Amino acid sequence: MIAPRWRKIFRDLWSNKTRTLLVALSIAVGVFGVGTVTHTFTIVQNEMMAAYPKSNPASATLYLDAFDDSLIQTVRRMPGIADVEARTALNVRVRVAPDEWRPLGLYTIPDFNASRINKVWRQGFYEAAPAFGAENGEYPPPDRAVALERSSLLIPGMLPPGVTVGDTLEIETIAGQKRTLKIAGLAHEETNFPAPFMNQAYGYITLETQEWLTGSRRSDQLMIIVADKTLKQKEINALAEQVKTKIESGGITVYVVQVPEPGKHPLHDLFAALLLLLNGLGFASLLLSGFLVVNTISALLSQQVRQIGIMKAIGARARQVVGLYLVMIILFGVLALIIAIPLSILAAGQLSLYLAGFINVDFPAFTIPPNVLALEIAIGMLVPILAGLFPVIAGTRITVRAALNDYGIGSNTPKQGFIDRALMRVRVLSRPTRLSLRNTFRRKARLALTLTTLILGGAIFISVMSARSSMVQTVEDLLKYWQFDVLVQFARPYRMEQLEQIARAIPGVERVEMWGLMNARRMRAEGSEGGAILLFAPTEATRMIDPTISQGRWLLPEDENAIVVSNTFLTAEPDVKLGDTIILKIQNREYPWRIVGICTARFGASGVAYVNYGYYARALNEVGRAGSLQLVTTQHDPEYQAKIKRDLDEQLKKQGVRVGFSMTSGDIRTQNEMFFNIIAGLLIVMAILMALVGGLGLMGTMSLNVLERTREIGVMRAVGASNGAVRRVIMIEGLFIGILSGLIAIAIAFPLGKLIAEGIGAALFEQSLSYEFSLFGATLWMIIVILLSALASVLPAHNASRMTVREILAYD
Amino acid sequence: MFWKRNKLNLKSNDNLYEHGNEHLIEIRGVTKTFQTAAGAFPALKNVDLRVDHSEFVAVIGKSGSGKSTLINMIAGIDRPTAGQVYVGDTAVHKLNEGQMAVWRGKNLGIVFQFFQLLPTLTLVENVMLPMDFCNVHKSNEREKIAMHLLDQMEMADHAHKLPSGISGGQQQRVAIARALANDPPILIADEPTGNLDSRTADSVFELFEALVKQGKTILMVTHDRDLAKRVTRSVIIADGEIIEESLARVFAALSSAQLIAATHKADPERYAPGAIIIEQGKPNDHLHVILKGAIEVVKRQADGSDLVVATMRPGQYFGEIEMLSGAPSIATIRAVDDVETVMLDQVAFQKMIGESQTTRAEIDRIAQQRLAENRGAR
Ligand SMILES: Nc1ncnc2c1ncn2[C@@H]1O[C@H](COP(=O)(O)OP(=O)(O)OP(=O)(O)O)[C@@H](O)[C@H]1O
Ligand SMILES: [Mg+2]
Repeated sequence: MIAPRWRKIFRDLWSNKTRTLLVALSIAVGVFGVGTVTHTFTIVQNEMMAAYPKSNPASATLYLDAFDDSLIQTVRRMPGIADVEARTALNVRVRVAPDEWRPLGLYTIPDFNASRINKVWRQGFYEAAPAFGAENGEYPPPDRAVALERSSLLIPGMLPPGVTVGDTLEIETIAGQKRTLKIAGLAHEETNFPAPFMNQAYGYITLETQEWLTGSRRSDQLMIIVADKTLKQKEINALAEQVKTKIESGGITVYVVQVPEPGKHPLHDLFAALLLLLNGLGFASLLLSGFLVVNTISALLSQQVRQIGIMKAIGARARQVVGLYLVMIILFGVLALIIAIPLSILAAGQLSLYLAGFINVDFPAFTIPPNVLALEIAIGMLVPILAGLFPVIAGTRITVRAALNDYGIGSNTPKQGFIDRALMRVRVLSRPTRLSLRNTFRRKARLALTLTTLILGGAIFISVMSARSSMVQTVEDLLKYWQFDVLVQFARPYRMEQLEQIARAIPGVERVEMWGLMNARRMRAEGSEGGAILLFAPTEATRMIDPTISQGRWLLPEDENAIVVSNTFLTAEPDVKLGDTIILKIQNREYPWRIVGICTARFGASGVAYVNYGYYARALNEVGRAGSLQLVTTQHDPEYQAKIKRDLDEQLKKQGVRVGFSMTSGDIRTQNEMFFNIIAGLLIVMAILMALVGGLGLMGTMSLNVLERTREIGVMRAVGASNGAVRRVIMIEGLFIGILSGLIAIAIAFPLGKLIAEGIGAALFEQSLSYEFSLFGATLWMIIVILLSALASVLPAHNASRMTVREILAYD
Repeated sequence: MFWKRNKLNLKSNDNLYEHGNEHLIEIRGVTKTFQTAAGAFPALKNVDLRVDHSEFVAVIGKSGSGKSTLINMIAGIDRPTAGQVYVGDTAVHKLNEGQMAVWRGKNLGIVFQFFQLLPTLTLVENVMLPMDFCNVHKSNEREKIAMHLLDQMEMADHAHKLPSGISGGQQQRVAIARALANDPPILIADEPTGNLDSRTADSVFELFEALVKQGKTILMVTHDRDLAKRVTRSVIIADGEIIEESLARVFAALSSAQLIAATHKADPERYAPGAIIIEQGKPNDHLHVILKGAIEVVKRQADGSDLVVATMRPGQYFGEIEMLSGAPSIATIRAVDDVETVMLDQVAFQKMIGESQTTRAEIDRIAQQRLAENRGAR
């Protein structure tokens, strides 16, 4: 048989279910927040860490002119190189609707069975697209068939709707030939960006298929594995440069050398930023939870003061009373865990599925890591105990006399303070209004706690919304940067007139600008070479770039060796600052440039710099020649831009011009937005959670506040206040607290949002975002706060006003 | 350890408790000062009180006079600012909070005016609670004992109801049952009948009387003058001081301030049986109020023999005739048995009648009446 005192605890919990649930939910919020985040990351990180090295990612990848097998042998024999493998990237178009074509990437794997680097695996049944029937697929793909990378199925629109294994795709090669390609099945590659990030589907074909499509068996990508696995990125880079030199000495042009940080998943940085955000969310919810728990538990104890007094009067020691309430708190914790653990498992499952999809790692086997569970239990127990310990000890320390003293209502009223007196003097407010406001200020500690909780919730909500709108704003700013629709960069400089002619001949082209473009490297003072930068030389009268200048100024037409460098260049070369003169090595000659401005580069871009074309052309002996072409089309929608780009690519090819790289501003937007949308989406989820939790806290503390005042309400009614008057007084108080907290939250959110935006910018893009305070978020929070505080105070006030005076006075 | 001592054992040999106190409850020079916004407020001023085993004492006084404060000192609910509180073998004022709780749980039953029972426990569980906290009785017997106590209070039928399901008077009975749960020798009650109707109050009071018969000592604050008459003794408090009950009873017309002043000046005196308190023909400069015992008024006859003209008992006073007239005593006053009195000297007496016309008139009337009787006896 359970002793009566424990029965009291159980009975108390049971008899006030709303309150019990409120406290348990307050704790659950923290457990859920931290648990979900940790759980998600344990799952995903484990998968990412485990899966990635298995693919044997390339130490370096070189993109070069078409080459044949003999080159592979040459490179393999070079010292320090362990393995080499070739691949080819083909860009074709696939018909996704009768009148709609989308780009499709095809990678040739010369020998599927002997492929060792950046391994591609067979993908059987795929949970994200069960209807596709991947389990019936064939791998390696036979000739004239493609094994699609599975992430191509993640978002619709990149392939014809409803395609399954065995269907055929209608494709068109760059040369304009129409072919049909059978879908052999699915493949999975960990080492490439997932299809949604590239905004196009891609897949793998055999060498025979490549020949059938292009007439060539030659490759254009070289993947290298270095022999020394301990090499750092820099050392690998040096080795790759040697390979490049060796290849170029054989007359083959190398366009790009790509050396990722060894062992780092291509999406690692994005992932790290997500981690930061989610951890922030977890921490915020924990903090909020702590405040909520302190608040609810101290409210609960203040309701129990008389009972504590009685228990002590009949012989309970303070220790025993503390024990009682600690057990109560632990029960709250247990209840919170019962609520939070399944929910967080569910949420972590969904979140990791979502992330795993984007990262294109395998769907994690569903596990509940014991350390996560332990963490959740620890939080569920420790947070309430830590938060409750002080109120419990303070609450049970009260002397029997103080607890039982019944000098009527408000005997504990401290002397009238400054606020009380000031309030009573504000004659504009009606008497009942002044009365409710004075009530609000009477329990100062309680008010402070309630306000803190609400302000915290509100400030985080608004800050997160602001961070989101800052991101959106930043993308817009960024896209303003390019005032062109299509961009083409050539493998080498060409004569301007020739290119301009070709471009202008294409219908739909409105304006054309030719810029100089060179690869350059900074020569450091001590003689070493710095990182590569892309040097653009726009014409002095350019109307196709609108850069964001963070320091200094943009180029003036009369500038000679003036240069504007990107902030990303400064990140790579931290000793450089505005006003310095730097030496750039261009085509093996060195040129001094004076830095007159610093601009904000496209996210993720490597170092970029701008100089005036006139000076550049004379200095480099490049007069009349250009490496980059940008044009403005008559219409600016992405489809139209894509069509013009294709037409231009085709024409250039016909004229024998070697295009290195071409893209539309629509592509840039999609790419950036893709990246942003994930983060922005996550921020929205964060904000919604914060609103939910804040709302919960608001409801909880407000209704506890009112509950605590039930006796007072009784007295007000006893002295003749009508129900309406009682409700009005309570509601004014609720609204006042709500609005006050909202205003303070807004004031705090302004700098806090900037801080978060800066944090996100620094973690993700190595630059700050264009800060935009979210008025929408602030307004929304204000509305939420007003509605909820009205609701949270009206409900208990309504209940209280229905009780008879006798019931209320007996109430405890 | 001393708080392990279960009961307040009367030491049979010398009637002395461990701390040298002769009485079960002894309060010596207790002062309690509250710090309030308006400054220090003395709620008890140098109060002495003695209560013996099996006494039923009513504490009465105006609202705010310090009744609750006084019994809180005894119950260990509050601590004196100065002075000592002894209950049996325990120096209550020296206990720390933890010791106090255990001691209180085992030795005192407490009944309040309001809010007694824990609302979420049934009545029988409420009664079991003190046993649980103080670990008294075997846990499997507790329910039986609690039921028995409820039965004594005629509440057994309701044992499994919640407090909200019974009336205020019934709650009070349950609270008394709970106060008795650990079988404490002393019961402290602060206005236990304060919010009950007179019939219910009466039945609660009867319960108390029965308990006193069973050997419990009860200290009860009450406003009810009628009930107060039925107890062994009343302690009157005014403005934080205990008024000599006899003075208050005898000089009912005095204000409390005057009573306090009189109490201050009153000296207690004891007389053995047969002792002469006032001798005829000698001057007398004290007014005596009898607290205990009986005295005889003896008049020396012309033939030299003594004639007992009157016998006086507690609540009566003598010596006023000489105090008023200043003449020598007109009779001898002799103790019949053990007599205790309080005495007012000339100064105090003059001050008293000087301040209260009604009292002077009343004393005059008594004096005249007695003189008349005296003449008749001659
Ligand atoms: N905690 C306290 N702080 C300040 N003053 C107090 C406190 N407790 C009691 N008092 C004051 O001490 C005096 C005596 O209070 P007490 O409660 O003993 O009166 P009482 O005789 O029991 O009155 P009632 O019949 O109204 O219960 C009162 O004037 C009261 O205002
Ligand atoms: Mg009182």
